[in-house]
Amino acid sequence: MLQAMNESQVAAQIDLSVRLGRLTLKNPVLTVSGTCGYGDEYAPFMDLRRLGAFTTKSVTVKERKGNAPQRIVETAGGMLNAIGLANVGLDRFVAEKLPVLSRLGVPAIVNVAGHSIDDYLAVCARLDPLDAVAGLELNVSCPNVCDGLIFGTDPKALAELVKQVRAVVKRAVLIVKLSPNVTDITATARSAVDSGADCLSMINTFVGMAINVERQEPVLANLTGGLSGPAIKPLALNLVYKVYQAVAKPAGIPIIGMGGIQNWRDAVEFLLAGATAVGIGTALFIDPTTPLRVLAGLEDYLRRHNLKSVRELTGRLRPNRNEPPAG
Amino acid sequence: MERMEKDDVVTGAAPGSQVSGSRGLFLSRVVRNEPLCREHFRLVLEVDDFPPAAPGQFVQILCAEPNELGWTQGAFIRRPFSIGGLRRGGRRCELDILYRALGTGTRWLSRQRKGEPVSVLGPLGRPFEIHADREIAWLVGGGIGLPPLIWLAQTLSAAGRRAVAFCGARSADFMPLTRVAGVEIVGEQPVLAFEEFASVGVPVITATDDGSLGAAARVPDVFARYLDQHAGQISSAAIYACGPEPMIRATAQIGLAHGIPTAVCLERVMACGMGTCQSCVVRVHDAAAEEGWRYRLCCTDGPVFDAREVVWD
Ligand SMILES: Cc1cc2nc3c(=O)[nH]c(=O)nc-3n(C[C@H](O)[C@H](O)[C@H](O)COP(=O)(O)OP(=O)(O)OC[C@H]3O[C@@H](n4cnc5c(N)ncnc54)[C@H](O)[C@@H]3O)c2cc1C
Ligand SMILES: Cc1cc2nc3c(=O)[nH]c(=O)nc-3n(C[C@H](O)[C@H](O)[C@H](O)COP(=O)(O)O)c2cc1C
Ligand code: FES
Repeated sequence: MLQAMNESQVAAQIDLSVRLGRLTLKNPVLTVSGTCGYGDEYAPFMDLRRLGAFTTKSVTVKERKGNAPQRIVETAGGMLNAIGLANVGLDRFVAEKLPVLSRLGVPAIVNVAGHSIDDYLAVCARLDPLDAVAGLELNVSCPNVCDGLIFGTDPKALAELVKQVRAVVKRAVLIVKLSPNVTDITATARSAVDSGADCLSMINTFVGMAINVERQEPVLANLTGGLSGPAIKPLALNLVYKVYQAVAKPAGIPIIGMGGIQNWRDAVEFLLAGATAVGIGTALFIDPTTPLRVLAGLEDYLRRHNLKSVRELTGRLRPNRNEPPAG
Repeated sequence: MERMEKDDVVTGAAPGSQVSGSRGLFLSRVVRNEPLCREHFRLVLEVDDFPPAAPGQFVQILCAEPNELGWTQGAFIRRPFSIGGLRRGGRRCELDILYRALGTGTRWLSRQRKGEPVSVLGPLGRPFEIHADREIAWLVGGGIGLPPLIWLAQTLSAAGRRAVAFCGARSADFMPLTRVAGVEIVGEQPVLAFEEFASVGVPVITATDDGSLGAAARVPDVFARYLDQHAGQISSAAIYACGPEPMIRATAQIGLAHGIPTAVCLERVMACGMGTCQSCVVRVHDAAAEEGWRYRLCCTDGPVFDAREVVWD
C-alpha cells in the first residue's frame, strides 16, 4: 500500500515535521550518539538525508583513546558498552569530521562531553558559531567515565553547567541528555530546563555488569558498562512519560526519546508517552536502515489513525479503559 | 499484536534504502550447512548482487530470526565471520562460511537448513594485500583462523604465487578441513592433504596439540623449523597469518625477526562491524601518539594489519 503511493503524495497528506526549539526537523527520526559514527559510515546503506537529524559520537576537548578492550558484551535483549568516550578530540573533529557531516544534507547534532564546566564551554563555544552544527547535545550522563557523571546525577551541578553553557550557545539548539542512573529523573530534568535547555534527550544507558563465571572476572575491562537495546525500552519509556508529565509538558520543552527502539511500534510508544522525536541507537548495528523502516511504519500508522501530523501523537496516551480483549 | 507487517522483520535492506557499490545488507539463503569436524560447520549462502570482495574481508551475520518485540531466538547483535570462499555466476554469488558452533549465535546458525533465510551485512573490513614482489606465500593458520587463508590460497594461486600452508588444531577431530582420500600426513612434510588447499595446488604442513594428526607441535614452532630449512626463500616470501592470538603473535615475531612482510588477520569482539561503535580496538604503534601507541579499529582499519604496526603485548 505504502509503496504504491509516491513520496510526494505521502508528504502532502501527512506532516512529519517536528520542532526542537528553533530547529525544525523534516521528520522525528534521529540516529543517536555513539551508534552512527561521525558522518557517512552508514551512507552505503541509506540516503542519510532521509533522517530527521544525525547525532555524533561524544566530542571532548582533547582526543581520548577510550577504555581498554573488551569494550562490549551482549546480554539478554541488549548489550553493555564501555567505550569510554573514545573520540578524535575537538580540533580534529572540526578539521576532519565536520566537513563530512556538513555535506550529509541532514541537520547535525554534536554530542559534547567533558570533565569540567570549562571543558564543555570550550567545545560549545567553538562549535556554536559553525553553520554545520544545528544542535549541541550535552552528554552529562556517560556511565563509563568516572567524573562526567556528577553533572548527570546532581541537579545543582547540572544547573550550573547548563547555565554557563547556555551563555555561550547562541545559535545551536541546546539539548541536555539525561542519565537514567538517578533516583529522581524529574529533578535533573527540571534543573536542565530551568537553566535554559531547549530540549531534553533521554535516556543514556543504564549502568550494568556482566561476569565471566569460568574465569570469575568481569567481562568488560572497565568492570561496568552501559546497557542499551530492547532490554531497556520499558524503563526508558517510563522515564520519558514521567519527565513529560512533570517537567517537559508544563514547560513546553520537547523530548527526544530513546532506549531500545527497534521498529515503528516502539517509536510510536515513545511519542505517545510524551516524546516529540525518537532516537535510534543499538538497532543500527543490526540494521543500519532501521530509521527508514520506522519512518515508513510511522507514516502508515498516522494514516490509519487519521492523523495529519506526527505532532498530534506527542503525549497522546489515554487512560487505560480496562476493556476485555476483543474476540 | 494486531498488525505485523513483513518489513518489521529485519530481512534485507528496508524498502527505499539503497545499496552502494561497496557494501550492503542482504537476505541470503542457505545452500548447504554441514558439519566438517567435531565443532566446525561449513555454511554456503547464496546472495544476489553481492559487492566485490577479497580474502581477509568478513561479513556480519544476524544469527537470529527477529520477531517484532525485538526479542530473538538466537543472538541479538550480529556476529562477524570471515569469508572463506566466494563464487560468482551472473548476479548470484555463493559465500562460504566456516564456523565453530560454540555459543548462542553459532549454535543458532548450525540449525539453519537449506533454503532458510539468513541476513548478511558486508563485505566489511580491509582485505589482505598481495605483495607484487613476493612470489612465495606462507599461510599460517589455526582452527577458525583458516577460512580467510583458504580463500587467500585460491586467490594467490590464481595470481601465480607459490604457497605453502601451515595448519594447526587442538586435535585431528577439530581440524576444519576436508582430507584428500589416500594422502597420508607424515610429520612436518608439506603434502596435498586437504581438499580446500589441494584443489589449488597448495601443500599443507599439519600440526596438532596432541599429535593426533601431523606433527605434535604448535604451528609457529613447525613454521620456524620450516623457515630454517628454507632460509634461501626468505627474501622472496610473505607471511599471512590468522588464528588464535597467541599463534598469530608467535608467527608475527618470527616474521618480524627475519624481516619478512607479515600480514595478520585479527579478531576482536564486535558490535557494528562498520566503524561506528568503537568496540573492536587493536593497539598499534604510533610515535606521534601519547605513550607511543593508539587504538585502531579491527573492523574498518583491519581485520588485516601489518604485523609491524601491532603492539604485541
Ligand atoms: C573479523 C572476524 C572474523 C571471524 N571469522 C570467523 C570465522 O570465519 N569462523 C568462526 O567460527 N568464527 C569467526 N570469528 C569469531 C566469531 O565471530 C565468534 O566465534 C562468534 O561471534 C561467536 O558467537 P556466538 O554467539 O556463537 O558465541 P557467544 O555466545 O557470543 O560467545 C562465545 C565465545 O565467543 C567469543 N566471541 C564472541 N564474539 C566474538 C567475536 N566477535 N570475535 C571473537 N570471539 C568472540 C566470546 O568471548 C565467547 O568466549 C571471527 C571474528 C572476527 C572479529
Ligand atoms: C556503543 C555505544 C556507544 C555510545 N556512545 C555514546 C556517547 O558517546 N555519548 C552519548 O551521549 N551516548 C552514547 N551512547 C548511548 C546512546 O546514545 C543511547 O542513549 C543509548 O544507547 C540508548 O539507546 P539505544 O537502546 O537505542 O541504543 C552509546 C551507546 C552505545 C550502544
Ligand atoms: S565493531 Fe563497531 S567499530 Fe568496529
